[in-house]
Amino acid sequence: MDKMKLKLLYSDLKSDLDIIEKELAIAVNSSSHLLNEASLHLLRAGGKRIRPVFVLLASKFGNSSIDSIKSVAVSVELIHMASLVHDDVIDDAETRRGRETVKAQWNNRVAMYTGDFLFANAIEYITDLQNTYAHEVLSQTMVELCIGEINQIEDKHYLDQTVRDYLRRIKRKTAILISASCELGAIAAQADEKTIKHLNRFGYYVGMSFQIIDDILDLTSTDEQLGKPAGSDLAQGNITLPVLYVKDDPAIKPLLKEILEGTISDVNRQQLLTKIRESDGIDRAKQVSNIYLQKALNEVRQLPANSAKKSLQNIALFMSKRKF
Amino acid sequence: MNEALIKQHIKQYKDAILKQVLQSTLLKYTGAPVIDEERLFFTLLPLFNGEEWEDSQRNSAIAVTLIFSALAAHDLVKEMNATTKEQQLQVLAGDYYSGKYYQLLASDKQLVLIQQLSDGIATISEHKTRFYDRKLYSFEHLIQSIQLIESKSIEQFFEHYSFHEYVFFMKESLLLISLKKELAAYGQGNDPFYISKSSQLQANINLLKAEIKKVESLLIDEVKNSELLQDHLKSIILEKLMKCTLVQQLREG
Repeated sequence: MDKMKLKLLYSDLKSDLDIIEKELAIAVNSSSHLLNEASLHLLRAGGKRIRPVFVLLASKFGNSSIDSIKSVAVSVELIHMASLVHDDVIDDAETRRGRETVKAQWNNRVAMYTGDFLFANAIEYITDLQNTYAHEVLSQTMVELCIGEINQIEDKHYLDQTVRDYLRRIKRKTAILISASCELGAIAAQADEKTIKHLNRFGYYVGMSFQIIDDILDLTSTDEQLGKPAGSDLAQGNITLPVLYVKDDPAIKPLLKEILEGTISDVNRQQLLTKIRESDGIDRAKQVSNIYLQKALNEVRQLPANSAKKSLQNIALFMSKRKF
Repeated sequence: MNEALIKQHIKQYKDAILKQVLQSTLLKYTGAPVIDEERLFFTLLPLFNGEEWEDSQRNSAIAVTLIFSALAAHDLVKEMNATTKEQQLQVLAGDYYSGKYYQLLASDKQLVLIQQLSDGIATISEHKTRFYDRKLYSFEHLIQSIQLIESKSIEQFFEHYSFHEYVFFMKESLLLISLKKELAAYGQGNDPFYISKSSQLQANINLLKAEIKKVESLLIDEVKNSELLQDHLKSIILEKLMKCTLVQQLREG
């Protein structure tokens, strides 16, 4: 995703995001020399900070002040960071965002403890928010995130999975944390119940649309754009929506079998990607993403008028229409 | 509370914990969560000594045990090449149990305890990384780290419910049991968690033995002379500590 364009979209939040960035640095500060190094390594890798942005924007629909919101924003970003550190162990990933992963620089065990440290700090931070419902939302989110990841491992290489299986998986893997970010921002700002519900649903729909686009881009972008070989999801056994639509195509099926078995040559990988790109799988997946985007925009329309409304709309459109 | 009733309570708690985290895929590939019965015994020490114990204490004790299960799951992830499905799910098992502890306490509206325990988990993680740090820690610091890793969350649970007087017995007992297990495993040529990661501990095995003796003799004295602990509970604790010694002596021949 073009980070610069996205940052322009939420330039109004710059001063708040700077405060959150500083708070994140405090949150990952540790008395352990090693953990400090590992956490700062992660922080310096940056990221889109899209979840804190959603917290901040959602909070504009209530009585928000950065002091009461920042702990929520920091918490959701820490959860995201911790998940990535643990995901890199699961995926045996050597690099992320062009930098060595914690597991590559140290080892899996250090990555586990770094993730645990971040998760624990995330929870500790959000206890500033004295709203028990918010904690039920976040704890449920953390459990669902895990179930999503467990399902992903379970469904790997399994071509008979349904579109419903896929949608349920990405809901837990991606949409639920974005949805929680919006909901928690609104709860922390004491927005009214109806607004909280709209924001929760908005986050869910945006998250679904975003993940489908992410899965499409893994198949349609170049290796250079992605910074990794195109089709990496498939090579890892992850069956995504465009593939589910075309998996029975006779021209695709044998190549699909090869990539899932890990026996595909680079020439055949390119051939498979070309065939998938030429098929209607990509367009059909885009249509599904667009349905979620429209639902997200419909939720925004029902929110009270303010400047954050336009920003939510623009970010949703950007995330769902991005080219890489 | 007599020994049979204590055993029954421990079984009931184990069943309740397993019910909390029942997840078919995790069960299939990673097995049931690790629940250390010795640690569970010391978590429930105030209950066994007849202290008032309500639903909130029960839920919190389950949550604390889930924290240890979560941390234990991550200790089972191999340092390198954790690429099998079982290992990948071991990572997620730890995260899942961790989410469940938070969920349980959130549903019980225990925000203060959540704050304390999460702070404790962060501290435990910091102390675990000491065993991977290039920086050299002193023998005393490493023993402190082991004690903290083994008992911090239970200490916070006790403090939260004003069971302050039990902290000493719990902390020293868990340290002693842990050190004895480590030493026995090391003596058998295995790679116990702490010693295998610390050249400092490996170089000071005699110091470790002396530390075990020191903690053991202090603890036995304190248990015997305690006015807090009921007599039958004293016997059970002493038996646990002696059993641990006996097992070690048998292992050492």
